[in-house]
Amino acid sequence: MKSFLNKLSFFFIILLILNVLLFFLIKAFYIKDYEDVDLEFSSFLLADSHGVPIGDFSEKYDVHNFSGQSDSYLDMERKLKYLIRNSKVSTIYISVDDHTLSPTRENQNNLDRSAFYTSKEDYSNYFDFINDKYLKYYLIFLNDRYSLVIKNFIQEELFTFSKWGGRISRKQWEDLPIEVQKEKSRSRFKNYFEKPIASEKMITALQRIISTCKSNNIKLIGVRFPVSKVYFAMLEKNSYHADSLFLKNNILVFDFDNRLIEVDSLFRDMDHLDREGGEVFSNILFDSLKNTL
Amino acid sequence: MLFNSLDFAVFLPIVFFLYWFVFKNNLRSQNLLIVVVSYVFYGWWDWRFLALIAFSTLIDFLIGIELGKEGDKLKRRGLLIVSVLVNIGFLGFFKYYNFFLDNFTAAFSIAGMPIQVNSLNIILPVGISFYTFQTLSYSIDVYRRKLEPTRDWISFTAFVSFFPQLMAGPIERATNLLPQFYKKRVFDSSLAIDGLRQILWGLFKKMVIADNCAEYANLIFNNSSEYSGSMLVLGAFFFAFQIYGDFSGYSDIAIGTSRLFGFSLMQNFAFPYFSRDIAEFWRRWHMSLTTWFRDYVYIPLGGSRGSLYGKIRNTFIIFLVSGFWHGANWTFIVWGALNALYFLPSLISGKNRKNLNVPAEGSRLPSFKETVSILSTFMLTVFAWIFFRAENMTHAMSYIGGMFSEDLFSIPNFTNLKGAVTLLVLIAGFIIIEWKGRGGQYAISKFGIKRSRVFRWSMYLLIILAIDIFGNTSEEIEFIYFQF
Repeated sequence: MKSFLNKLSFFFIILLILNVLLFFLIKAFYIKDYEDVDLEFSSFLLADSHGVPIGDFSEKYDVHNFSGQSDSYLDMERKLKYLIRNSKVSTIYISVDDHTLSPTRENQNNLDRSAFYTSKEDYSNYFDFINDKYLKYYLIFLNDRYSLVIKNFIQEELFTFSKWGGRISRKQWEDLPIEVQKEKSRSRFKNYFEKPIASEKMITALQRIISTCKSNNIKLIGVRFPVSKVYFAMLEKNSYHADSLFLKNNILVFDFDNRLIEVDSLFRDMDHLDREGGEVFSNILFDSLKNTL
Repeated sequence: MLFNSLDFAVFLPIVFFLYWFVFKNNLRSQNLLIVVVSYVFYGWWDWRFLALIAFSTLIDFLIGIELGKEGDKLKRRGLLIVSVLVNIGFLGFFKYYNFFLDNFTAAFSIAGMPIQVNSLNIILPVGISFYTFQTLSYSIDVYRRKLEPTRDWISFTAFVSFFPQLMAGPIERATNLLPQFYKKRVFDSSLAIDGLRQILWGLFKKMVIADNCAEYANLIFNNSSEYSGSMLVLGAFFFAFQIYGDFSGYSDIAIGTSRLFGFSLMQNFAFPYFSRDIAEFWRRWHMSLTTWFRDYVYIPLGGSRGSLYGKIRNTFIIFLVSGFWHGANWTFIVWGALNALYFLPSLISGKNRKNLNVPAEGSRLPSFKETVSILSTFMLTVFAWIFFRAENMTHAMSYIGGMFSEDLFSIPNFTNLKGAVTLLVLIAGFIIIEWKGRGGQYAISKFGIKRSRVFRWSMYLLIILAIDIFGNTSEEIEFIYFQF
């Protein structure tokens, strides 16, 4: 028995070392950027991937872009509380797009990464806190998302055959035939709008964000991000109406969803701007805000 | 409780600790611990059906004692009939009641005498087909005087409910497993390590191969009318690997877990997809069930002795019963019949025991003839799996019709091509490992055994990584054989 336990312990130590190595790898290409926040600012932009192309162009307007790919309102709530604890936050710009209350966001979010921003007060018990903040965060074998990231990386790198003969850049959105644009838009639409009713979890998270801002005297402003012409037409009246929750609470919403529909060259895909689009939109957004407020 | 769940990952070390550290000096308390944890394990799924196992255990225990005491042939036979009726009665009620009812009403309707009978909403208790067969083996062996009846109630209860194999086998013979509960277990480090290795391989088969194949097989089978012939072929191929990975993976985890506690269970799978004919396939697939039917049904019927007609009749009976054992659906019966038809040529020509050795024994690769035999046997098996997987006969026929359509040779069109390619690469790797390890009890049982520890451990770490990265962990997917 002693020899068995010795071997087992030794194996677990090696497994732990492997875990540490993989964690540093994951940290470098998955976590690091997500934890990058400048707490010297007092205005922050919270959004999902729609806010990412704005990059640091917003800093020209003294707004720090705190957006994260696939951020849900639960992630944004964690970030907001973190900002309240660690900075002098006074203004929050937050995305209230048609899809942000989608049930899809319950599964496609950043809860594994945004755990970094939490503290014990955000949890009702120690078990959940330790599980989220430490166990799932540091033990890669317990975190399904990390596995998915590695799997996607392997699939992207190994099975995209075109890359084997040299990297071929993705075709610009504007260069795609209209039928391809429509097909891709349909797939995105299906991903977000498959279920007719908004996610209850997302609604309550957004409501909590509104009340937290209110109780901490933080100015909250809603932003609807631009989408391409094809996708805009496909959306029609389909929306989970995150913006109406804002309007009900007399919170200002800036609607830019059709602002750039004639300029496909600024889009990377049906509903995301590219880097240049991000710069253009940053100017449009913050100039409009300056003129209105 | 599922083997591939976090619950089991916590449960197993606790039981291991209690078994080897707290109760190690007392055989009776070790057996009692097995009973308690087995009931907890089963009750985790649905505690209400614990009474059913307890009742079945009690009946066979008492009948066993009576069979031991009774000398009168007729009375002994009567006792055996009671055991068979109780066990098959439970199985019949929970598994086949609605099936027979539906077919009776359909038959009466066809005869122009429609009758109105309401079917019952019956939940099938997990593992019932397995533990009833296990207890039956005890009664039959005691009746045949192959086994002394036990008076040790705790050992017998532990034998019936032994948690590693309670839900989906291997269906153990009382002659093999029960005596192991009488003997003091001494911890064997090499046996335990082998057990862990087999658990690891079982998890790989289940989580990486079976659960990923399930995603594609379910998608294609559930929407079969929307797919091309080539996609339907791939759907059947994925299902073949799903069911193999799922069931043999479960068996590996069950056998490996038993080894941790000093028990040795029978091998349930021996690389069936490398079989060179159907007879060999059935010697390698779900061996505990096949041998159960052989010993308790086929041989009493006369087996392969007697006339050719008798042999063919017995073969069909055994395959039809085996098909029906899997579920109350005509698809399973047709699946059994189809396998009986596959079996016939080798039976008639007397070549059904031709391939008893390991495929390509002593060489790295199979010969051309062996390759053709292996591939053709595999294709026949995959075809039969379509009936096994289909919802009903109409579905099976439309699936096959769609498969042999003009687009049979079209290029498969996957929505998630990268995922499908990844899975095919994983299956290819899996086949290579299985082929290399085909001489052992399970694929990695002897893998790298002559190499250094560094090599072996690196291989284990790679398997763990593969499970973590490619394992389908989106949800805990139940084992297929839980439904039987």
